[in-house]
Amino acid sequence: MEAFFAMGKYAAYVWPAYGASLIGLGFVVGVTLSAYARAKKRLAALENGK
Amino acid sequence: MASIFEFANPKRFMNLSGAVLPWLAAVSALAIVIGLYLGFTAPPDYQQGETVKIMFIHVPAAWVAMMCYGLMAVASLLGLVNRHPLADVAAKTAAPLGAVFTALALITGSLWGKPMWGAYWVWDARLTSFLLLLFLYLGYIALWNAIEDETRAARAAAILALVGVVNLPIIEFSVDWWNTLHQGESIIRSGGPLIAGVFLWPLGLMAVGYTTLFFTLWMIRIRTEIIERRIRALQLGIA
Repeated sequence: MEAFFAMGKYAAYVWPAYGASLIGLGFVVGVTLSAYARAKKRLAALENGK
Repeated sequence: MASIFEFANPKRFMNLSGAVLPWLAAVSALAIVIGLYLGFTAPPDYQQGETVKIMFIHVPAAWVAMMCYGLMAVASLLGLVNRHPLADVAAKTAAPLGAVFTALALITGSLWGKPMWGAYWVWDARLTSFLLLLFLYLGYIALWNAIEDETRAARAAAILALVGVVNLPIIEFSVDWWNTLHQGESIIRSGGPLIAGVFLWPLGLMAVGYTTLFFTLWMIRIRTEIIERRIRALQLGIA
C-alpha cells in the first residue's frame, strides 16, 4: 500500500495531477448540475404561478 | 430531407437529450472507473516510471480540449450562416467546459514535465500553442459577457471562435513542425500505436470517459440555457 502511494518516488507529481483533475472536473460538474437544478426550479415556479 | 437541423429544434433537442443523458452519464462513469482501475494496476513504464500514470488524465483532457474547440467552431459557423439560435447556445455553453479541460491538460502536463524534462514549463511550440487555446476560450467567454445584446454577442464570439480555429492544426502538428520536448503522436498513427496494451487500454477508456463526460455536461448546459431563455420569455410575457 505504501509503495502505491509513493508512486516510485514520483508521488509529488502523480497525486497533484490527479488531485487537480478531480477538483477541476468536480467543480465543473457541480456548477453545471446546480445551474441546471436552479433553472428547472425557477421554470416550474413560473409555470405554476400562472 | 432529414438533416441535423431537425434535431436543432429546441423542443426536439430537449426530448432527445433527455433520453440520451442518463446513458451517456453511465457510460462516462463506468469508463472512468474501469480506466482508473486499469491505470493504477498497470506496471510502471520502463522509461518514465510511475509518471506514466499522469498520461491517463493528461492525454484525454488535451484531446477533449481540442475536440471541444472544433465543435464550438462548427456551432459558431452554423450560428453565423444559418442564424440558428440553438447553434449559438451550443457554442456558448461549450466554451467554459473547453477552458476547464484545457487548464487540466496544462496542469497535468506541467506536473509530468517536471520529473521527465526537468521543468514545469518550457516555451516550446506544443505548450505555447496549447496555452493560446486557453486564452482563446477565456477571450471567447469574456466577449460573450462584454456584449449585452445576445445576437450581437453571439456573432462577435462566433467570429473569434472561427479565427481561433487556425490554432488547432498548429497544436496538432507542432510536434512535427518544430523542435520540441513534447513527444510526437504515438496513438493514432500509420503503423499502429506505439504504446503497449497495458497502457493503451486504460488510456482508451479514460479518453472515452472524458469524451462522454464532456458531452453529458455540454447537453446539460444547453438544456439549462434553453430553460433560462424560456424563463425570460415567460417573464416578458407576464410583465
